[in-house]
Amino acid sequence: MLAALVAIFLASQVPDTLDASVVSAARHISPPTESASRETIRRSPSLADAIRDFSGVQLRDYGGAGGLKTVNVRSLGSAHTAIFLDGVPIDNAQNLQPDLGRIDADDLEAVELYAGQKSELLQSAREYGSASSLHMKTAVPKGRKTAFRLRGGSFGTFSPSVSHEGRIGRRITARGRLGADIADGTYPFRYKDSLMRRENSDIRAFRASAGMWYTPDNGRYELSLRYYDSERGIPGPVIKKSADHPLSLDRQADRNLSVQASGEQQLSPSLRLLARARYSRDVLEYVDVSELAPSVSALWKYELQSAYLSTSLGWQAKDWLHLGAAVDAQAEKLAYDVPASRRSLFTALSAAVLKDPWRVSAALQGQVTSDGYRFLSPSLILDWHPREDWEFGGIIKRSCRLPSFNDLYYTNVTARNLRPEQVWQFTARWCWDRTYENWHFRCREELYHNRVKDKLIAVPSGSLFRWSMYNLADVSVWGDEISAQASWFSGPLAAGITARYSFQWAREDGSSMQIPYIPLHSASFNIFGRWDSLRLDIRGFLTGSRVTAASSRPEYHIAPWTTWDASLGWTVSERTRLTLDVRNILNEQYEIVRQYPMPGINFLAGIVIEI
Amino acid sequence: MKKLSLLVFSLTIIIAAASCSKVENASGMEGFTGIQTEAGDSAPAGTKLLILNEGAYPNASTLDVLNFSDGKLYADIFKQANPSEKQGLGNTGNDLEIIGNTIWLTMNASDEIIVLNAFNYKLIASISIDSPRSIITDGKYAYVTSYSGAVYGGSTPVLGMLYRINTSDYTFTQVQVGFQPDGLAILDGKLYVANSGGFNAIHDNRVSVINLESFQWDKDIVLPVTNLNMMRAASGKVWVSTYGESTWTQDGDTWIQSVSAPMALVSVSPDGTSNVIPGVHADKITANNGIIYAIGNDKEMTGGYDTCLYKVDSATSKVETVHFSGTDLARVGYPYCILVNPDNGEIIIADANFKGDSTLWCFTKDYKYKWSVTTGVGTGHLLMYRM
Repeated sequence: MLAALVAIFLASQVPDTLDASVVSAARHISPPTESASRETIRRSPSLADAIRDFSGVQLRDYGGAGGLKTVNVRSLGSAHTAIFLDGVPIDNAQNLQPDLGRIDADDLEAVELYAGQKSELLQSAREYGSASSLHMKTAVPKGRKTAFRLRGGSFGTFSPSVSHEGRIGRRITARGRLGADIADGTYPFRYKDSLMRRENSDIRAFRASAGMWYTPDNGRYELSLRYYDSERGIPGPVIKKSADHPLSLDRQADRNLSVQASGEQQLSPSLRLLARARYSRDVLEYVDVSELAPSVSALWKYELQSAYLSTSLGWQAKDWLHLGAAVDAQAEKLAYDVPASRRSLFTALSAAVLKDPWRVSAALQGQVTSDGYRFLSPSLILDWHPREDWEFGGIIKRSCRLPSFNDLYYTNVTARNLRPEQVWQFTARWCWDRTYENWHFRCREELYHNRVKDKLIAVPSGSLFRWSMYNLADVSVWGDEISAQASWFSGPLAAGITARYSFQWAREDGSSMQIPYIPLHSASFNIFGRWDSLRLDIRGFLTGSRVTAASSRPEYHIAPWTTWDASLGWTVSERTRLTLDVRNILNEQYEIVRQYPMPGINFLAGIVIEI
Repeated sequence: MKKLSLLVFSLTIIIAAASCSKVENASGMEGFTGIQTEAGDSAPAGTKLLILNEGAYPNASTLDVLNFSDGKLYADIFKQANPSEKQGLGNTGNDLEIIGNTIWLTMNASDEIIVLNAFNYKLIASISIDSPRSIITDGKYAYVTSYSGAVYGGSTPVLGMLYRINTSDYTFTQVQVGFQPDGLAILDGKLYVANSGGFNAIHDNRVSVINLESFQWDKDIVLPVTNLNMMRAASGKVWVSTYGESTWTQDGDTWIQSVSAPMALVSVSPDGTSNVIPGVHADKITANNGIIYAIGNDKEMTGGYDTCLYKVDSATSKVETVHFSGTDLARVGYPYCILVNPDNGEIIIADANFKGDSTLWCFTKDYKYKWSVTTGVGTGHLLMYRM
């Protein structure tokens, strides 16, 4: 870390005369299912906000400043969505998907969602595995800049950050950032006709990151270090409580340290090598405080260490034929009362044929773990681009998610017999994208069928102390995602609208009911208008009714909800930007997760000054 | 069942009184909405089954009523009878008892006991009691075990409490018992408390004995098993089931959890001697007509599944083991509680997988399927009564 900070200091001494030479023009078979640009990310107060309107994504949000946020893509469950930061997986074996609320979005250049598979010609073995993946790319610093950012507003939110980036010589750039998120997190909500207040949902988080980028001829290298330290209240679900009995006094502290490096080099005109590595150490301390006797508490401490190493080789065998091979190794160790560890080896072979207007890729990924799991994931991706404005494509893929440490060790007996949860995915899509003078139109549709075998489900086996995991269910999902976009530009004026609709029919075999938490219908709208330096965005989210268990009883039914957000941005000057966000304008009282009320109308203002 | 047998004699008068005032009331459930089921037939008039659904947390628990007179299931009767109580019963229903003309329900996470009118299910009182678990009555008082704010794995082990609640004015006194007390039984002027200690690293193995007259701790009986669970009284003894114990062993990279002590059934005599009933691996028990009915897994120790009904003669301790597989009982996937109808010896088992609604299965004395009813999520506690 110190070295990186020194590098940043040095970097700032060198005038920024040259642009970073962008070496890798990543070639892919099919584009991401959804993506958010740097501009969208910048406007969003958090990563979760930036990806909320992605088609087919259910953002699970427990509400409040420190509430856990995870994504579930196309009804498969969050464990099937892998999260990558600059190509390196940051998910973990304890609970599989990390909390998206902790990822610092400020330096991100793009967020891409692949429902199916990312299909760059050169990628790591892990990238061939998961049923879906969310990829975040950090922006490479372009010159010398110091930026101050401050956000504040409802829930006592106070969120300052400072970053500095610069250049060392022609080829090296670097950036450092320090930031904090502080919020008291309380908000009023209506619960079954009573007006209540969310308590014990405060958070204090501190982040630091440093990165260096080196771009020699025909290559690029990067090294980054991140630290996150937070302490927060866990408000728990809202349940009926006897008078004067608080809901939850539990606290949680997290300390996450990670260092990752990656390098890509053109070895010869036809050979390209990619290597990535990561080490992380995540400490989680959960304090279970007795609401009835606050002096009584239990401390649960988990320390998860993970090391990851990946190499991939790409060979452009012919103009039209690309072959790839990749090997990844990962070791994870969880220190806890019952320690757990897993070493995994992933290997992948791929072949891609690129003959306009066709692009086809076939890959086979194999996975072997020290605790006895073996799995093969084949995939076939097809893309047909008959005309400039039309594109068709499809994916067939099998993938799995292994039982997590939580599934294996923190439930109960019989866990050793758990099989991986398997998924077959079938997707067909089309896209029409066209610009007429000042107008731009884009329509796309994806039809898909997911088949989940051996879904892992926790069942209480008789008492409070004994829950068991079972491979209990097979699930079928049929879905359709449609989006349409129209925008118009003329000088300082611009306006546009994007409408998205998603249909998800997801049923367990033999059940007549939709699986929990998946709405049959959901939609979102995004309307923007720009006049010179002012920009207004209005976003609407509509989620149909859902159930929380396979029960037709009204208490397991969550009402449909609609929220509208507005965001006003003003680029005062080249160096100063102001934003004002008003979220949930109509003050809708709603729940995404049962008994976790979401906030009503709330405000957030921000200022960014760059010098 | 003990609870019903207590009622049978004490409620004869009430039945007479009730039937006078309800000449036109064929079902006794007028004004409530029920769904017709195949249950109910020759049951004596006014016989009802109370079904406490624990609910898929954090959803609130619900109380269903199966009325044998009209064969209808009245779902979420609390909400039907008390529409202004928007928050429902609360979380998580752990036990229920009939006391006089009232139904008492313990709501564990809500720290509350709910008292309902047993005729019209109107809310009479909510009593604030810290994490209540099991409830029993001697006709005069309600006795409730409480975890008293203990947390799982806590640094300071917290002893549990036994509350004695006056059923007329709801005032209460308490006496300290063992760790995380659960089941209760009354036998010859003494109250027996099964202490689980399930939140502590070392589980409890004591039965606390309380003198009912003085409401003072009398003695502890140490059992050869730990993690005590349910309790019933029969043939001059109390019968205790256990949750069993598990340990972790390492096998290369993998840690394997295995059952180190099976679920067990123990008979305890008032003089303090105890006897583990051989071959019974069960934690859900009920008693009827001198027989202890227990449901468990016969292959528990080897990691397999062989769901069984054990019938233990409380006088001789003789065990009859009925394997579910191969009988109609095999229809039950996840047995979560059991009740034996004292009128006819029929066996009622709740099948709760917590993924969705539960099924209540009724089998004849000879384990033949009789009827089934769909109940709420996590059906965990049953009580029959007649008024």
